[in-house]
Amino acid sequence: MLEYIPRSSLLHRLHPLTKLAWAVSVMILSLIFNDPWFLALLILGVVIIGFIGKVGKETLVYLSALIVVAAFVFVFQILFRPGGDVIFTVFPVSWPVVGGWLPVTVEGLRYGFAMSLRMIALVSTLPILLSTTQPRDIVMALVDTLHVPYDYAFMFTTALRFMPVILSEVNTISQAQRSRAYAVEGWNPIRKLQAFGPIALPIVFIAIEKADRLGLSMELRGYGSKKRTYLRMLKLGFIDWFILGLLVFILILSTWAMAKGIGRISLTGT
Amino acid sequence: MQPIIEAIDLHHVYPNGTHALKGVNLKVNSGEFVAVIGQNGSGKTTFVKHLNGLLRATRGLVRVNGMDVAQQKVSDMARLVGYCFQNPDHQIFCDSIYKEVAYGPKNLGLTSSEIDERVEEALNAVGLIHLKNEHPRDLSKGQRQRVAVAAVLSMRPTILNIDEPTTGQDYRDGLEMLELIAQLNRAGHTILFITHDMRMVARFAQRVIVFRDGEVLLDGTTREVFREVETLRSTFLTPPQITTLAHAFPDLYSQTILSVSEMLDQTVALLNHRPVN
Amino acid sequence: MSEIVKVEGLSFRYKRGTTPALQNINLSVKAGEFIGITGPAGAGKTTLLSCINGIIPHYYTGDLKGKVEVNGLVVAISNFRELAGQIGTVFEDPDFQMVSISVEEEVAFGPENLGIPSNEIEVRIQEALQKTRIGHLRERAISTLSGGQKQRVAISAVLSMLPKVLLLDDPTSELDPIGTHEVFSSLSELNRQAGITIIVVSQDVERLVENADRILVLSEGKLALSGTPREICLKRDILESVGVRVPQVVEFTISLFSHLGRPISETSLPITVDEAVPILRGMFQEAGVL
Repeated sequence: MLEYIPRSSLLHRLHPLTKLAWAVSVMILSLIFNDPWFLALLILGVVIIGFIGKVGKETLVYLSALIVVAAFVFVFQILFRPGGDVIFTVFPVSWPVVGGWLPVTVEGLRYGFAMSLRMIALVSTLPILLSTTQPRDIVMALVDTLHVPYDYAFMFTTALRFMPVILSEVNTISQAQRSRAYAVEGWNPIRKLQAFGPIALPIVFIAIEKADRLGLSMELRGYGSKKRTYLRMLKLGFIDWFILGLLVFILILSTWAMAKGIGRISLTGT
Repeated sequence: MQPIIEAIDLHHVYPNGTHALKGVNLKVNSGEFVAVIGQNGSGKTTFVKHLNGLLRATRGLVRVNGMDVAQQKVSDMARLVGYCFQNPDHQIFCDSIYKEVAYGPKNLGLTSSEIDERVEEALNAVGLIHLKNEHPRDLSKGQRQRVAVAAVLSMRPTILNIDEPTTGQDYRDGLEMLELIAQLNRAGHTILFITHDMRMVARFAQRVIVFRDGEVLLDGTTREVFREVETLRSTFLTPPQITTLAHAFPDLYSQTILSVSEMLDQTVALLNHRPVN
Repeated sequence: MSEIVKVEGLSFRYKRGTTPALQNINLSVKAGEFIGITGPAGAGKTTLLSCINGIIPHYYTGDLKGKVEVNGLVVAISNFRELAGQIGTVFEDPDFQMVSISVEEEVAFGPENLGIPSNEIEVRIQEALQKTRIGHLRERAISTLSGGQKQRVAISAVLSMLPKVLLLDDPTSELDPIGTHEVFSSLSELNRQAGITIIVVSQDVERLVENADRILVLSEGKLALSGTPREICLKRDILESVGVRVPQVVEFTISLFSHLGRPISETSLPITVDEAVPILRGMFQEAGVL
């Protein structure tokens, strides 16, 4: 999902800057609003855009994976958010000592929903961005238009490219060590720490060596000078400007709404 | 005699959907010295990884020493089947060779003195006992490869699976490695080695299994397999140069030639009109 | 033909090395030659390539003596940008020498770094891919390719900078037989049709003997042998003593001729199976066996 998926869709044709602006706008909106309903609507909007980009199915798969994390956030927020009407307590009041601990309140529930939805909304645009935009184009947009230093933009896309390769090496290392009766069973934390070495050390060593070789290959091909060009110099089209304008409008509208208290709920239990 | 390795209708489908093994049936007897060859993606490595349980059959059965591998844990199979990976750096993580070779026996829960004994034995077998306190990263690639073999030997497995013992090595190191493996075979280990090096296959292997597209294409003695020139060519494999040269004269060389000295003896005999044995 | 690579009195010792990695190497390569370099592990083959493409002294420092020139540029004082236009290097590991996700991006990488205008980059990509016959792989993700295909992408990624010399350090040792065949076919075609000077380090003696105009044998940092494939093959004793083998066909023919008391010269030595078959046939016919 974090890899470019070549399909022909409106999103694929947009300038990477437009998509970046959209991603950033969604993040801003998810921070402005904290009403769970608004946040849910925002996420729905992202999913719809995912379908427009013909990567809808993949977006849903990605989001469903996020739900597990969101559930953790949810539970955590509920239990440790004091204030408001108590619905029930995790430890029944009748119990000695711990009776009445960890109250679950209405405010807590609302807060839990809000925070977990916010978390999902914040990262929901990333897979759509990456699957509809070629990394090289992202780099070009960042460096050429936004004047991000080339090295940083490049580091990001290179990391993306090598993730599967490194994962595959880790898998091989794991197989090699398991063939020597390496086993990580049980919950003993000390054993778990010890078990780290046989996998981590080889991959670190290999990664360093190969990074060195990679750096060489890049330098030998002229990497590192100030003046560089791009195979594809994309220009902002009419649709891009239109969408950018639309995003600006939405952001202004949201800021006004925030000032008016719309889309925001009180989460402090007062 | 029951075969030490048995695969019955073995299928393996990877999570991404690749059908890597399509019904493999094989038997290997104890003490055999087998070369497993084929292009990358033919299923040869996938097959061998089933023998110690690294990969599990999607369908079919793998039996080692009479046991169904599917019922065993990988860590238990390690006592019986050793797997040497192609790149020793995928295994090496300790700061001394001794500790590296001791790692496997330690995982098997052996006593301190048993571990000592096995480490000595394994390092002696690979000829590195004099370097036992050295740091593995200070050694050459060829030496690290032998450390990796020792690290597997110290678990005293009956079966040794070795993945590409000569790839990326120079001629001498590769030859030494294969001579070490031959020695281990003479000592009683059953050997399966995966390789692209046809000359080494001709020189050392008694039996050759050829994989193509997830199936066993050929399975027989080295001479039998290298005789099937057309079949080998269908999967872009060529026998060693000398074998190919002899094939140009099928009526003269009665048997598939496997080495230069064989070719020499038979050619001299032919030229002298002597009967070829 | 002009001299495109000139190495004079090259000696080098790595900063932390106790022994010299290279001792007094002299080499002259003419434009359009196909040079093979072989030798046992640690002989200095990679070090020699590194001195030619500038990795030494720009990336790795040490005690460097002698002079290396590529197409008139003195390597030690030219920077990588200048050298990139003259000489390209392909390494052993197909995965860790490419930075991009798609083939197209990878082949564009070099020219982009050099600031070549976009439309010219497009032309270069097409030509580079065509030269290695992988035009049909342009849109593919590199991770989905076979080893042989990956190495050809690496070659294209270097060709797009229009170098005069192509250096390859053991490009096929990690590949399967098909991959090795694909790479060497590409190299042979590049050399014969596009006239690119090629310098390959390899342990694959058969391939080197088949393709190279000249072969250098290194051992312990010194040049043990240098000559045409046939010249080298005749010097079996020297080769054996440094741990380099000859093709089986050569070994057989030399032993056979020696056994029969026949002299063998460069012109009569077969170095491939195709050359050996008629010679052997002739001998059988002479002896009345055929």
